[in-house]
Amino acid sequence: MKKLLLATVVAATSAVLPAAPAMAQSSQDLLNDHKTPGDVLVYGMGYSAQRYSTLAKINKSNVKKLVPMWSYAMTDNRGAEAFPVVKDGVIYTTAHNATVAVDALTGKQIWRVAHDYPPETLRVVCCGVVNRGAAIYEGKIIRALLDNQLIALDAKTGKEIWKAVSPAPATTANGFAMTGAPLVVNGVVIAGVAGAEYGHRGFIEAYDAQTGKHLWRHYNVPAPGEKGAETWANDSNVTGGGSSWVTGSYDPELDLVFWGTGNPSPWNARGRKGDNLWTNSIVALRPKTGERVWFYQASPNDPFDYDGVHTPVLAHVKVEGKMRKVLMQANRNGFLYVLDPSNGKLLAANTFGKVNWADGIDLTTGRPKFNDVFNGALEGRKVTVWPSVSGVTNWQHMAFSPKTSMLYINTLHIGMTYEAPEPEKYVPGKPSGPGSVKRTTVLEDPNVRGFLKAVDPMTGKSKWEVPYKSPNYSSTLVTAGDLVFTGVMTGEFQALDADTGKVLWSFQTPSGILAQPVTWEKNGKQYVTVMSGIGGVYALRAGDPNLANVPAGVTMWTFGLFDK
Amino acid sequence: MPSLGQDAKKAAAGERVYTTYCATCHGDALVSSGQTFDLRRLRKDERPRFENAVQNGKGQMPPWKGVVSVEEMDLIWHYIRTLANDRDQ
Ligand code: HEC
Repeated sequence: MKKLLLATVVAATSAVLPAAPAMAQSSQDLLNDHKTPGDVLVYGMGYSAQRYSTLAKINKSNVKKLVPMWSYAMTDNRGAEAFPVVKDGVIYTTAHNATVAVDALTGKQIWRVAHDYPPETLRVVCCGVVNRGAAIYEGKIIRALLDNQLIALDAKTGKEIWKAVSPAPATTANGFAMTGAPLVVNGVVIAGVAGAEYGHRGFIEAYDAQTGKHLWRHYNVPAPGEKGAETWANDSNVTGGGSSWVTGSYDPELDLVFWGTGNPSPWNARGRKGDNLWTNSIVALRPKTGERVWFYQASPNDPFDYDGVHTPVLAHVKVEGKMRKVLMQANRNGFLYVLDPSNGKLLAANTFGKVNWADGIDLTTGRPKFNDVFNGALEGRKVTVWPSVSGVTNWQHMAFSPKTSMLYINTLHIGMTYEAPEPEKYVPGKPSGPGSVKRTTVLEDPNVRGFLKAVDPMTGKSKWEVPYKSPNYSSTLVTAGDLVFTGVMTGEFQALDADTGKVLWSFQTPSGILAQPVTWEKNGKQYVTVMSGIGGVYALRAGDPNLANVPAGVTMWTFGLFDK
Repeated sequence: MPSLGQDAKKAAAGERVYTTYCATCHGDALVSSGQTFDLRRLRKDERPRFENAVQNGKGQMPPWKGVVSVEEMDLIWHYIRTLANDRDQ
């Protein structure tokens, strides 16, 4: 009912303002996404990226009756990582080479648009041939393409409205690729790049959502002579990496976008002494201008590929007895950071998995207390490091429940031996990642390579932990029905009790899940949607024997309660 | 007929080239999930197939002509042989 009213208001507004198209998803709709559980409009299920839904029709007492409503074949066998957007009974989702619109209730395809790219593009796609989803804005489905372009399609027909080529030097030859989902804030499309494994100089950039016009670019690594360049020895900033391949979040009160930046390049840190600003940092940017208001660097002079890209989550939690707004990031380096979103001041930083490269974080300076493991790595000694280059989290998003005040985080439990040789002179355009150091995998137990954990933000301590044979690269989703949804690399889609971690329901999908579950409502009934399809960085390259025979093939699934 | 020592040296150098260009899709130590071709399946007599795929690409496999040199390709081949399924035959 509420939804109907809203639709009427929107229609009326369009009539008054002829510029606005009939099909909305205005900036206001995007702002209210977390309050309108009928839709899923913004990456992360709202600008705070909490992945929390107020829907509770599916809950602990009835989740056993969850059954598939339909499945849809994406005609692809690479990894499925996309965040499905749901609007007015239509689901929009992506693969690396296609964008589709599917009827949310029946799974019938409405349109499919294929995207071709030159085969060389894949030379610089280090970590899975994937796409993490589209944004929706005023009747347009806006997404990035692997070969550094953004495209806006008509949500009704799939017809191309605009296409923008990311300006120089963002080319395949220079190591750039785009795999992330854009974020639209007040008509500005914000997008990131991959490429820190190929010696690019990473950035975050913005386009006009109506026209595709390029608006601004924030380089995540300073130019020669610019302030910050002094944190890079030997002019190493020129090819210093600092990607932005995971989508950020937005705080409308502060009018700040929070975006994580990736690893410095090359992985071998011995040729780039210094803090290597602003890699492995959270940057707070003005969406309109790209002005950097603050930054916080989690991993200075990083030798271990600890990208700081994990999406910052905004929420209210209790700090020293008082509820206050915070920004939380479960960093790949194994620390869970809690910051003041207005200025980047550190409020807490605790481990949430096995970490041995630092003895903690100094809350005054915000810097890691580096120890022998870290120093040994920089000196070229062979060291055993926890976590491995894959991190305690990688890119898989966590969820936050305001009901339990807990974060639900899929973590990795994998270490490595690490040895960085005397660095060779880096040749621009060459791969600068795994080949620059020597590693082997270290496990405590080959049958436990990851956990799903319910974590207290301020202490990093778990309320419960569920072990998994291979780490879950699926994101989590938590609902007011006190259910945590996640996928497993071997294909199971699961619902767990948010209070205890007990697996209450599981469904075997045809391939591995490393995507992003969402929930929505239509005609008074709650649904859960997720994509299945193994791939991505871990399955491709970690050499996990558990995954060697998981069938490939991307499908999208929607589940609802059996009520016949 | 190259000596064994020479082959081992080539294989060691090949591992580095492989890690630089190929491991992202074919996995650490050639172990990957089923969606990418398992390079350990390449038989001794399939060197032409190997070279053709590396130079020209195939399906979702990018072409490497002009990026990976003929010498580097030879090193990768030697590395793959050390882990190949039919290495003992
Ligand atoms: C971007 C991912 C990617 C990278 C990087 C990559 N490959 Fe592949 N490769 C594939 C895929 C996918 C296939 C399966 C192709 C098919 O059959 O459609 C494949 C297949 C192959 C094949 C078998 C082709 C055949 O005849 O069936 C060989 C040989 C091969 N790759 C070698 C290499 C080598 C050597 C490198 C490094 C120089 C490399 N690949 C880098 C993705 C990749």
